[in-house]
Amino acid sequence: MENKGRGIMRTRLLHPWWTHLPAIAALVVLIIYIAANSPFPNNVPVHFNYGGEVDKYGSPWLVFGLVIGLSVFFILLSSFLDELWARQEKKKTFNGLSLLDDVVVGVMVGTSLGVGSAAFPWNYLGLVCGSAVVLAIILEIIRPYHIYRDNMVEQEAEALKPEIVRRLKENVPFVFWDSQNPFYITLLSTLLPVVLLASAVVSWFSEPWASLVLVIVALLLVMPYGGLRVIVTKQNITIRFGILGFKVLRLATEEIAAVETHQFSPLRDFGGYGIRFNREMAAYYLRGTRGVKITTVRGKKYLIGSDNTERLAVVISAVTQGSRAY
Amino acid sequence: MLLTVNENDSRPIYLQIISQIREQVSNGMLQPGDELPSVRETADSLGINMHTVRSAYLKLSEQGIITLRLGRRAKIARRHLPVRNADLAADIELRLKELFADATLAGISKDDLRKLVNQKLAQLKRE
Repeated sequence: MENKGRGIMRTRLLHPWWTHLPAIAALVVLIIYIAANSPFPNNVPVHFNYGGEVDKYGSPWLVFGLVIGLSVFFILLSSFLDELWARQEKKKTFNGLSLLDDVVVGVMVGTSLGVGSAAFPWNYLGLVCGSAVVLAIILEIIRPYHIYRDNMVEQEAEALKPEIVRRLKENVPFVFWDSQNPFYITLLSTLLPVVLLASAVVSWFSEPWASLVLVIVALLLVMPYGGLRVIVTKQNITIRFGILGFKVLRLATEEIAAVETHQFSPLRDFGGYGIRFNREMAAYYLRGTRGVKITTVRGKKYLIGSDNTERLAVVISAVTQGSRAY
Repeated sequence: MLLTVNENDSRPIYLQIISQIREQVSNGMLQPGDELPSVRETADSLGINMHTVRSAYLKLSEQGIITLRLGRRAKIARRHLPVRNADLAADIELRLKELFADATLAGISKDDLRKLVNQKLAQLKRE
């Protein structure tokens, strides 16, 4: 896992040299044409209408600049796409939820552009919201993490194992509960929906469909409010998400083959926080860089983030072993 | 947070829940600010009635161990330690005396008792 993500920049797609021949030929012809026809006339056609007639004249340097500029632009664009594709191939990562982030930003930008002419300062509002989001994420990243972790060391977590085993032996019902509910989730899922709903109300009179989209996005954004809960009982491990308590994962303890603690990088390995997937595993976390990695008997892998990783790992492995034995 | 319901225990279920949460706060497994599961979630996963869990939470809130706020999940209170007063200390001394009497009558030797007390002291939250 430690090596994953390194060397991404070196992974570029290689083209055979002859794929560049048409571009070189076009460039050569262009240079010869320019050399043969110089000096330029003062006025050349720069735009043609649908009938093929010239409807605009301009300086020849404009045409020259456009050709060079657009070529450079397309070369940069294609190498950017190549790079994106190479990263995709290397990392094998796709984040469903990151699309949601993009939609939100898109809607905010769209609102600020579309309603910019009205009296209300939409673009400033968009700026303020955007900076609030960025600020919240930065705060969450730089917040000292040890305040969550100093409460239990590994040996103390180990002490939980006999407790769990005893309960399994005596066959008494028990529940172990762990949660992550960071501040930025509360901030994001209250601030952004309020702003989006306000803009929905305002734009209802001019663009009803846009405000409908805004309302839907606002509702989607409320969902993570309430954080992530992990519930371990003798039979199941359940992960619930959000204020409505959607069951996002339920694993029978009998299906679990291996449990281990796992260190990861939220941005490098999964591209953000929340419910994330890469080709190796599905991850559920809202904070931190450590979690419990569970492998099922079918070979599927899940990562559950926790503020008390050792404790959760000990409990899950005790339950797994215990539910087989008793 | 680890909760158990033991049918063999003579205490009612809500008292079992209260004592477990108090114990976990005292040994540091639950920290101030930690969230507790909702009443419904706890009741579902333990297979007990919602009102049992609710009364346990209400009692804990009265004792100042947790804070309950409408529409929020229960949280371990920031200051769960009451002001140290003479009555409380006297009460604990009395209970200890009773416990020691029980232990002596049950035939537990002084050394074993000392070992037990030391073990429980070690499990308390590090200051």
